[in-house]
This record gives sequence, structure tokens and C-alpha cells, in this order.
Amino acid sequence: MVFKYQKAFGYSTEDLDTIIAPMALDGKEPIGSMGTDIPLAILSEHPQHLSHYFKQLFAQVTNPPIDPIRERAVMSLATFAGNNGNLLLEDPLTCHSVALKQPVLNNYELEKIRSIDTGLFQSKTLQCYFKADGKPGSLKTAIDRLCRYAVDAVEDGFKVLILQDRAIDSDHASIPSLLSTAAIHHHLIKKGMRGQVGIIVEGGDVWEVHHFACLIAFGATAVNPYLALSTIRDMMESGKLRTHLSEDQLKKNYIKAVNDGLLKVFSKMGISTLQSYQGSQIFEIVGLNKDVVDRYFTGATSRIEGMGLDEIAREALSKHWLAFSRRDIPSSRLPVGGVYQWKQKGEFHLFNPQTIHLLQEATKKNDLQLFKKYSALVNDQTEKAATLRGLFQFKKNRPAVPIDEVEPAESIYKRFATGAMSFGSISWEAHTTLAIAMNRLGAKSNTGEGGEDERRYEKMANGDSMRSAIKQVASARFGVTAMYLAEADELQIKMAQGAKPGEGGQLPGHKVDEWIAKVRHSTPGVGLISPPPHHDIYSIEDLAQLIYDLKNANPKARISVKLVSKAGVGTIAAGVTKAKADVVLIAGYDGGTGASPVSSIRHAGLPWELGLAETHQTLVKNKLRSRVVVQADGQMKTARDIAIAALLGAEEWGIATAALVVQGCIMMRKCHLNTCPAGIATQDEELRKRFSGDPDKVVNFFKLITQDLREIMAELGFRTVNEMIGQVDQLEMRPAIDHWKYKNLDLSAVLYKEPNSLYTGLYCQEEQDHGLEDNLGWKLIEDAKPALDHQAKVTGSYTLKNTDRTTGTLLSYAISKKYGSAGLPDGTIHFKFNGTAGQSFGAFNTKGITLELEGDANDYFGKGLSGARLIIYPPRTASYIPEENSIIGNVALYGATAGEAYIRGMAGERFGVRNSGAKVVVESVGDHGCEYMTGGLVVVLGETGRNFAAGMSGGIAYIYDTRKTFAGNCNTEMVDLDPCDLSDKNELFTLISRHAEFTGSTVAKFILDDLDNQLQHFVKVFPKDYKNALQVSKQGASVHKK
Amino acid sequence: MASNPGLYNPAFEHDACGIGFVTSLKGYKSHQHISDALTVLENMEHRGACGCENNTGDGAGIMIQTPHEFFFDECIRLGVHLPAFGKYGVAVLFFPRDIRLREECREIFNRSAERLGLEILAYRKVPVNPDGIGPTALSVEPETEQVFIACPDHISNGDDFERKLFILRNYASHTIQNTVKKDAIGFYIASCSHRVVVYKGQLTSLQVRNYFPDLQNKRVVSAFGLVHSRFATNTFPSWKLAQPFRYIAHNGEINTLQGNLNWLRTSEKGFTSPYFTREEMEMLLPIITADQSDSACLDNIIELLTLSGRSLPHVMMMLIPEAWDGNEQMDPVKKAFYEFHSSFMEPWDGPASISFTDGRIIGATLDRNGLRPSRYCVTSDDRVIMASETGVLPVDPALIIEKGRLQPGKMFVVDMEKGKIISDTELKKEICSQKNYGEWLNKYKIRLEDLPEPRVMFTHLERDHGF
Repeated sequence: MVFKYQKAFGYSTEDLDTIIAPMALDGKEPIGSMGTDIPLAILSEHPQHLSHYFKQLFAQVTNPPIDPIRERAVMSLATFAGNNGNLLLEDPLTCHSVALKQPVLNNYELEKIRSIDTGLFQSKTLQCYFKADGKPGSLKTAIDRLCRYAVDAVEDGFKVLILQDRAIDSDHASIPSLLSTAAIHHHLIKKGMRGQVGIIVEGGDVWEVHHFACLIAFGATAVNPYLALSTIRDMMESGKLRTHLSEDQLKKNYIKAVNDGLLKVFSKMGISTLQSYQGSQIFEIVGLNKDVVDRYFTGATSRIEGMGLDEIAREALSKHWLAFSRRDIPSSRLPVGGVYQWKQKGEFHLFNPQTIHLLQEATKKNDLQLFKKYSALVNDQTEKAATLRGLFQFKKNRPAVPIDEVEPAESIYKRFATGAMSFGSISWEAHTTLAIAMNRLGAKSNTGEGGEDERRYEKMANGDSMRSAIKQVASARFGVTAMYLAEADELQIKMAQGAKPGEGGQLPGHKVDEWIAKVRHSTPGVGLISPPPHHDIYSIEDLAQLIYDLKNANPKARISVKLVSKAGVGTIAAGVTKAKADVVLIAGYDGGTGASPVSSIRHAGLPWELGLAETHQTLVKNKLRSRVVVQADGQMKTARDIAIAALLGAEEWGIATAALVVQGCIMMRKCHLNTCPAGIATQDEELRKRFSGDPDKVVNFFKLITQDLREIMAELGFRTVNEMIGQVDQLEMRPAIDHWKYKNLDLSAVLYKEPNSLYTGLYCQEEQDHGLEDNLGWKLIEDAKPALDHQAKVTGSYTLKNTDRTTGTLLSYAISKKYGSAGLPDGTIHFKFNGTAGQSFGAFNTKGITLELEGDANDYFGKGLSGARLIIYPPRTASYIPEENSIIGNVALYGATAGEAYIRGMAGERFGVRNSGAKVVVESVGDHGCEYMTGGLVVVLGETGRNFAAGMSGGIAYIYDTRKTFAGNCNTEMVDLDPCDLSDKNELFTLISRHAEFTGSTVAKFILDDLDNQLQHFVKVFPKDYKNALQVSKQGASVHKK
Repeated sequence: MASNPGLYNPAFEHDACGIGFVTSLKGYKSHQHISDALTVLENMEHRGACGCENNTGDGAGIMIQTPHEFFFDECIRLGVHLPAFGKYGVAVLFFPRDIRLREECREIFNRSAERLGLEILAYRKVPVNPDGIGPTALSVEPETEQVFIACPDHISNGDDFERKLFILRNYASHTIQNTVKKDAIGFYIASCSHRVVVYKGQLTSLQVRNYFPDLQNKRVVSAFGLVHSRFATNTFPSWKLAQPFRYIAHNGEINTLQGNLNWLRTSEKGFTSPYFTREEMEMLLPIITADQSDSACLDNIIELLTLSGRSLPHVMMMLIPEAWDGNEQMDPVKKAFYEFHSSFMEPWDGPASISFTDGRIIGATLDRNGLRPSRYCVTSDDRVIMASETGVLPVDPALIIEKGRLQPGKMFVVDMEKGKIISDTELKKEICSQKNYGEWLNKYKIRLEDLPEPRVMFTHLERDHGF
């Protein structure tokens, strides 16, 4: 029976083994890697779940995603099912509804609600089926009837509707639960009745996190996944799950995994409560027609048309008939799936054994003919469409030009970049090979978010260079030092990542060896967390500030902002351009080598074709296009892909996956396991020996693809790449697409050419005005000349206003350029300031600088501190008590790697987030202090806010806890709270003495005068992982001694 | 959407900004507060943005108390004798520049007032100085006028008068929206109150002071100035999207807007309130019209909930609640308040720093996760300065008695009538104990675990039927 239902509702063996089983066993959503290269749902030959046409939206730039694990305290899954009452009155009866702690109901809970009768509150079950006759209109009739029944039920006073799809048989198929839910939800909204009733879905077709998310976002109050739960029992009874866990526990695990997954889905949009997510419709629909969307998913974004109700019915029936077969021999197996990894008879993948082999051979032999064969296999999608661009063709309405008139390959190479993959996620060999190859070509490689070993800044003996031209600045700021920034040609702010936009990442401890730990300024063996948001970018004006900071940290580098394609990415790109970015990178959802939860890889974000076209159109419309370079990446594999990207508006292109395949990757998709057989995505020494890539192959790849691109250009009649940019009228839909499913796709919005004004070009032709000339930094550099020239000591004093931002950063750049990461000797430069500092005071300041501020400061004080000393205290004339008043803003010392700071007064929220080396004394901090900290030392001589030390894996914090409130405010998931011993006392004595000396702090003096007594009030916050790692290295050291 | 053949959709737009206010703690009115507030605005220029031209801003503005002395004198010039302060309301209207469209709008506005029994006393053209304003902004610059509306004799309560003005604003706006031909400028009511007046436009924060000569007039006095400077993700000029709105200046983003609007739309059909007649309620609806920013929508719902009988801080707590679920340290009385309200109002969720005022109290609140900065300072000469940044108004350090920041989920209110700051704890204690929310929950909330055993056990059925 379970088996029959599984077939009817479209389960594959992959769904059972790869999705449901891990969730039941481990209580977690499974992880995958290497992106996705299967067709979009609307292009797939395999019957799809309706939710696959829905792509999750996510926050980037204009608001931050939330970390639902480390910041669980602000999240909530609670909800109410029932009548909302009248908003304008305070009536006790409005709360007469069922309070749920979370939205996933097991069968027992559902039955309780089905039987409920309080005298005022009852529920009604509606059957969601349609006639399985395959005739046009059957599904429509069924939905209309269902909506009528729902209205009747509300009018009859029922407070909960249960939408059930169990009653199916050979003549009656289930309506996809998402469709029935959304249809009833919107019908009741239109009737003004939705607030009077809760909707609970009892659905057979609900098993992945994404299915739940879609249901809730389109109106469900709660969900009972009865078939997924039965599947778990069935798998356990048939021995498929080798486990000692009880059935009950397995189901609990599964529900927990769904809940955690839901928190992640809505936190990636920056939403903290399930109640707000309900009905929020935060999806873009890709592949349903306007009629369906307007009627049943009213108000949701959908831009390229697609299937109508009859096609949806046809797809549903193709699953239904697997179970209720009209043939004599019913199929005895579930479909294989093949979505997460290539399988014979499974879903189509662009990178399959054949294309991988051809590409590797072609680049090894530098063989253009083989490369063309590979390209033809990838490009030819007449039989099997896999991408939107596969549906395009070139118009060729311009006269062709001879190939020797096309600009030379050498001038095109500089437009290529490789993807951002960190040293840590991929091996040293793979990482440096890419860098060397790109440097040989004059193109750009990317550090990824893991910092860069300084050895790579020097040229190699043979003239090669391992230096990455693009240095990434990601949320964790690993290894983002003054020197790192100064060494870049381009600084790339990673707002989101294609594989998992809106989510953070994690580098497991076993991948963090000594080398990687050094480059990332962390402890070997201790896992590293990348937060979902940049904590200095919660809004567009914050991004403008970070761009300004980075421009100060390296005025010569281009500042690039990486966005992931989604509905609305164009407006964000326009905002980013107004925030003075030099480059906007639009990444497709499908790329991404990083490890990521499987539901995120496929269901979040859009193909780059949509994002790029929207971005180009919006920038042209806003007269901003010629101020910024547009780059695109995401599963680009051939010259045809590049040419289409250029015509849609990208003048530069990134390639990641294909470059790895050239280096020997065979798409095992095990990057997250450290067992990569090609020696690429692993730190294992034995496996790394198997690495077969070399710079020549990568160089060959880019040469071949450029050659091929030049041939396309000649054919299309373009002599230069610039001429091609945004000439979207050179593209058209392939004629005679008569596939039942996607024949009604309408890509005219993608191929629309936004008319440009006389003054706006279609590619970047102007430089951004970064407004650096007013910065105080130039004066500081002038005054510090003796120090810069011959390390002589200098002092100076200045007045600051809140409009003086990013103080000292330009000076720091000048020092790094001349003296490298060593900077200047301690105390060489001492500048004194009075007044209020603007944002980012002392950001990325390097060794040898002391900035002393009498006054107060705004957000991002000491951001990315790289060795300088910062001192701040209130004006001597102020009469208020310093330790009880605010002196600096939020997110101070974010991503600091070295240096000291002494702060006499209270700091704001998120103090010392991702600190990896600075030593700091402060007199009080707000919520989320020392979050994700991996090194350094923080002394708080006063109270902290909530959620202190969440995700803290290294470094030490000491809290002066006289009121004994700290334990309640600390998140002890990853840290121990220990008493202080003698060595702590010495450490504290040194730092607090300096604090007293530099700032005149009375709190510090009081403690020092009575240190032996006061020591008992200090709590030592000691990360558990760090403690273990120290123990291991101590044991290691003693073993060595023997 | 149908109008645009490409992929762009205005619904995708976002904005962010800097906000702030300067207020007299004791409610003393002075021109200095306005001038200081404008200084605050000017010092946050880097938080706003410029469009494709450096002299076209994304919008900036200021809200002040109705400057009676100034308006009285101005109206004398128009040959009208204004009644006492509080006995007339002021609506700030953005008219199309096309004279025929403008007069059509004006006639509808007049008829709407008449229908509500409100007498129009005078229209005053707000003088403006467009020097230095970018061509893009000027291309859709409206004609700004203030209209003075008498308070009917039978209304003695100020709140009742505000409700009448609210109905007038919604009714006139809807009617004009549905009747008058639309041009690029359109009709819009920036504020309509007897307590406050808004000056705003498609300006940079540096342009506000100069664009409105009124703001430099010494007779224009107020106990506070509430300012806002906007950073939008586009360069399409829209004067009405500038802030402050009628109750708030919002720095933030409502992530769940579509859902919030759907829930509101479906429930507004059933609205009843002792403060509005059935007919008045019909004239008010829809509360939120299309084509607005998320901040404008939030302002609309705040206005409705406030004028239907809840206090402004109470409304803020309903819409932007603290993280109460699972917070073991929270006072049970407060928790009950939040839980009760969550049974019928979902949070308008997202990062937010909101400054709000009804003309008598002025305050600010922050979202549950503290995702926007909000710094304040209290001086010994009874001023409170609150802004996205510290140091935006130069103050002698010796005068400062307190410097603080708004913490996540917390609120801060200056009661200008009582002349004091009300702390978060005090304020919320009072609001949460107005009614016995905890008892209501105990009595009516249905807990899943308390429900009786089901009539049929599907867990058995599952066995019997194999699934």
C-alpha cells in the first residue's frame, strides 16, 4: 500500500535513500556539493513535483539573512490554527484557536485536531482529488468545487480545514497539495474569509523541506506528511534503515529535520518567525502560466509563463498512472531519480561521463576539434533541453566578418575569471594551478573566502605567479588583513553563493590543518563557521560603507559585489551600482562547488540568464549601466554560453566547475567529505598526490573557449566584445519547440531590449566617483611622511565629525604597500582625535599605528583591525559615567585579525564578531557578543547582552560578572564557563593595566587595586573545541619531546 | 507588470536610509529644534544616495508640529482668520502640475471634505526654491499645497478630529485615484493632521532646508523635528516615497510584506470598530493601496491601529514584537501580551529602526535582532537627540547627561506632555497590564497536548491499511 502511494505521489528511490532516510536517521537535512546541472523543472522530461517550479527567494544586500542555529533565540516556529478575529478589537476570544509549537503534525496530533469540539471550535476535512480521465478541464472543475466546499465550511463555522489527499483510486488522482492549498487560500482571501480559518494539509506529496516551505508560504498553517512518515516506518520494517532507533524516534528526527530546514528557509530571507512566513509567497515561479499564477498563486512573481492547469494535470497523472497502471504489469520499482548524482536512466546532467571525458581530453591535447565535439554535445539541446539558453538561437542578421578582423584572443582573456573557491575547500595544488594559469593568460583567479598565503605574493622562479588577482571578502573575513586587501587587483564582496544563497557555511575541523589554520588565522583542528550575513551589511547603505572602506584599504583595486540571480536582482544591482561598486557579478543558482544542503542547491535562486537579463535591463533603465562592469557566472561550459552571456549584457565571465573538470574533477560530488579521488576538493595528503591538473591544461581550456568564441563573433559579425554587450536582439527563441510541457514558455521578457538613453552606454565606460578625495586619510599620510619614509616617530592631533569615515585606512594601505604585513614598529605613529568618529574608525589599520579618540564613535569601530592600537574614551569634560553610557556603535572589531583596542564605555550589538586575533578591553557589550570568534582575547568589564559566544570556537573572553547575570546571557552550546586561574590573572592584569593607563578607566583602576578579590568575579569563556585542540597539541608536543 | 515587457518589476524595489529626531523633553517649541533636526539630516548625507545625477536625491524630509503662529500669519495674508491651535487640521497635498488635473483633484478633495462635514478654510501654496535640484527630480516635481480644514464644532476630542481627517485623506485619495487621469506626478497627501505637518520631496538631505523656505522661517516652531533620508535601489523619481510618513520614519525592510498585505486585505472586510461607523469604515477601505513602498504600508497599518483605539507604542509592540517565544527570562505578563497578540497579528518582520510620533509623544523602536543602528543622547538642557548615528548634531560634551543606544526589540518614548522619558520597562509594563492577557490565554487558548483523544486513531488505521 505504501509502495503504491509512493508511486502515485512521485517518490523516487533517490528521495527515499538520499532525502528521507538521512533525515530520519540523523535528524538533519543531507548535504551535497558541486551545484546542479540538471534541467530546470519546466525543461525536464521526468515528472516533477509541483514545488519544483517554485524557487526560494533570499536576502542579499538590502537585508541580512539570519543564522537560525547560532541565533535561534530570535527565531520562532510557533503558530495558531483557527480564527484570527477582528484586528481592531481587543477580544479575549481571538485567542480561542489551536496553539502549535511547530507546524509539522504527526498522525496522532492531526487526529486530535480532526476530532476537536470545544463548543465553538470544530474542524472539517476536505478531499482533494480530481477525475483521472486526462480530459481538459478536469482539474479546474475539481479545484472550483474544492473552493466552493471551503467557503461553505467557513460559512458553517468550522475553524480548521484539513485538506486530505488520501482518497485516490484508479479513477481519481490527487490534486498536488500545493495547488489545492494555494487555491483555497487565495479564494478565501478574495472572499474576506481567510482570517476565520486555519488550513492544515494532510498531504501524501510532502517529504522534502522545500515542499513544506512552499505549502506554508502559500497559505498552509500546518502540515501532516502522512506518507513520508509511513515511508519511514516501511523502510524501518523492511530493514532498509540499519538502525537501533525506534520508529517513534525516527519520525521525531524527521520532523526535527523538517523544522530545522524550515528555519533555514525563512531565515535565508531574513524572516525570523513562522507566522510571518505563512502566506508570504517568497518564491519566484518558473514555468507556470499567468492564468494559473494569477488565479491560484495571486501576486507571486512569474515571468516566463509555462504550463497551464491541464499540463499540471497531465504531469500529476503520469505519476498517478505509475501506481494505478492501465497496463497489466504494474511497474515494480520506483523511478531512480538521478537528480543528485548522474544515474543511468535517471535525470539528464550536462556534465555526464561523456562530456567530462571529451573536455579533459581536449584540454590535455589542446585539440580544438575535440573541444568542438565536447561543446556540440553540451550545446545541442534540441532533443533534451536543459537550460533556458538551450532554447535560444543566434539570429545572424548581421553580415559575418572574417575571423582575423575579430579582436585578438589576448585581449579577450582578461575578461575571464575563475570561480571563488577557497584554499581549504580545495587543495593547495588545485588552488595554485588555477592562479598560475590565469596569471599566465592575464585573466583573474579568485582566492575564495579562505585568505591567501603570503608566499604567493612573490613571483616564482620561472616567472609564474600564484597570486590571486581577485581577493574575496566574505562574511567570515578569514585572513582579510590590511596586507591581503592591499595585494588585490579586485576585491570581491561575496553577498551570496550560488549553491546556497542566504546561508552560511562550515569548514569541518578535520579539514583545518596547520597550514589552512595559519592562512585563516584560526586554530588547527577547530571547525570554522561562515555566518550567513556580512555583519557589516544589513542594508544597502551599509554596503556602500563597506565599498568605501575597501576602497580606502586599496584605492587601486576594483570593488566587485557578487550577487546570486533571483527575481529582483536587477534592482539590487542598481542599488549596488549607486553604492559605487565597480563590478557587479551575477551568479547563477546552479553553480557553486561548495557543500550545501541539497534542498538549497536546487531550490534557491535562478539561472543566470534571468538574473543577468534583469540586471542589464534595470541598469539601462536607471541610466546606470555604463558606470559598472557586469560579470556573470554559473555552469558556463562553452563559447556559446559565453556569447549568450555577452549578448544578454555581461562583459566579463566566470567559470568554475568546468575549470575543475579540466583539472581532473569527475563530478563525484563528494567535496564535503574530504575524499575527493581527483585530489582537488581534499586536504588529505595521499589523495592530493593524485592531483593530475596542471596550468597548461587550464590555459588550453581558456584558449580553446576563446578561439571558439571568436569564431562565433565572426559569424555573428562582431569585431569586438564590447560591441556585443547587451545586443540581445541578436538572440531569438528556437523555432518549432513543440514539447507539450515547455512549448508555452515565453522568454520574450528575457530577450527584451531596454532602450538606452543617449548618455548611457551598454557596457562600462565611466569610472565611479568613490569620493575618497575628502578623506582625512590624505592629510594623515602627509603628516606620517617621516614614519613612512624612514620609520621615524610621528604624532598629530585632529578633530573628527561623524561624516569622517574610515579613519586611518588609507594610511594603513600606504604602510602595507611599503612595509608588507610586518607594518611599522609598535608606536611609530600616534594620532590623537577629538569629536565623533564616523563609521569604520580604524578599519583594517595595520601595525605601527595608534589611534586615540577622545569622544565617541559609530558602527564598525576597528573593523578588520590588522595590528593597530585603538584607544577611545569620553571627552574629559563629560559629566556622565563612562561605563554606563554608549561610546561606540554596533559590530565593532568585526573580523579583526590582530591589534589591540581599549574602549572606555559601552559597545553596541555584535561586538567582536569573527575576531581572530585582536586583544580588546571594553566595559559592556550588547547582544551576540563574540559570535563566531576564532581567536584573540576579549575582556568585558561589565555586562553583556543575550546570546554571548554563540558559535565561538576559538580565543578567550573574560567577563567581569559582579551581578552573576552572565550565565543566563551566554550561549553555552560551544563554550565552557570556567573560573580564572593564575595564568588568567596575569593576562588580565596586563590588559586591564593598559586599559587603565590608556583610557583612565575608573573601573579598571578599581579592579587593579583589588585584583585578588575581584578575580573571583571574572568568568572565563573557553570554547570547547579550542580547549580540546590545545590539549591535543600539548600532548603532541610532549610526545615529540620524548 | 504587464506594462513592462522586460524582467524589471517595480515590486522588487527596496530602500533604506538614515533617520533621526531632535526633541524637547518638556515639549517646549522652538525654531532651533527644526534647524537642529535639519543639521542631523545633513550630517547623514552619506546614508542616503544620489541617483544617476548627483543633485537628484532619493528623497528626504522632515515632520514637525503644526506651527500655529506661522500658519496664522500666512492665512491672514490669504484673508482667512485661522481658529485656535487644535481647531483646524492641515493637509499637505502633492498636486499634478497640469492645471486642469490639479483643479479636478482639488474639486474632489473639496467635495470629500464637504461630504464629511468638514469646512475648507484656505489653500496655501507652499513656496519652494528649486535651485540646485536635479533635472530628474524636477521632471516630476509636484505642486505642493497646504490646505487648512476647520474642526467641526461638535468634535471636541483631538483624537476624534484626527479620525475625521484620516477618513478624509483615505476617501479623497481613493476617489481621486479612481477618477482622475494619471500623469507622472499624480496626487498624494503627505500628511493630514491637526498635530503635525510633513515637508518632504525627491531631495538629497542637503537640499531640504533650502528647498522649503518655510523651514528657515523663525516663526516656524516645533517641539521636535523628525527627519529621514532615503537610499533607494532605483533612480526613478517618486516624491511621495520620501519620508517621514504620517506616523513614522522607517529605516528597514519588511521581508514579509506580501503576506502581511494579504492577511490585512482578507480581514479588513470584517472590520468593525466603535470609533468608526460602518459608512466611515467603507470610506477608509482599502487601508493599503497598491504601488507603495513597504514603509508606506507599515505607516498605513500603524495609523489604522492607532486611530482605532490602541496607543502608538502598543501598536508598535503588536507589529514589531520582541523575540518572546522561548525566551525564559521574559516577564510572564509581557510574554502573555505578545502571545495573545500573535494569535491574530503576525509580525511585520525584518530589520527595522522606526521613529514614530503622534505629535504628543515621540519615540523609537528597534527590531528583535537589532539590525539597524539607533543612538541617542539626552542633554541637561532637556533635549533628546536620536539618530542612526551618534555625533550628527554637535553638542557640548559638558551638557550631555546620557548617551545610549536602542537595544534589540526595545522602545524608547519621550512624552512631551508629561515632560519625561519613559523607559522600555516602564512603558511595556503599563501596556502589558492594561488587560489580563495571561488569563485570556489560560481560558481560551487551545493546547494540542490538552486536547482529548481522537475519535478515530489513525495510528491503528496506519497499521491495518498498511500506511
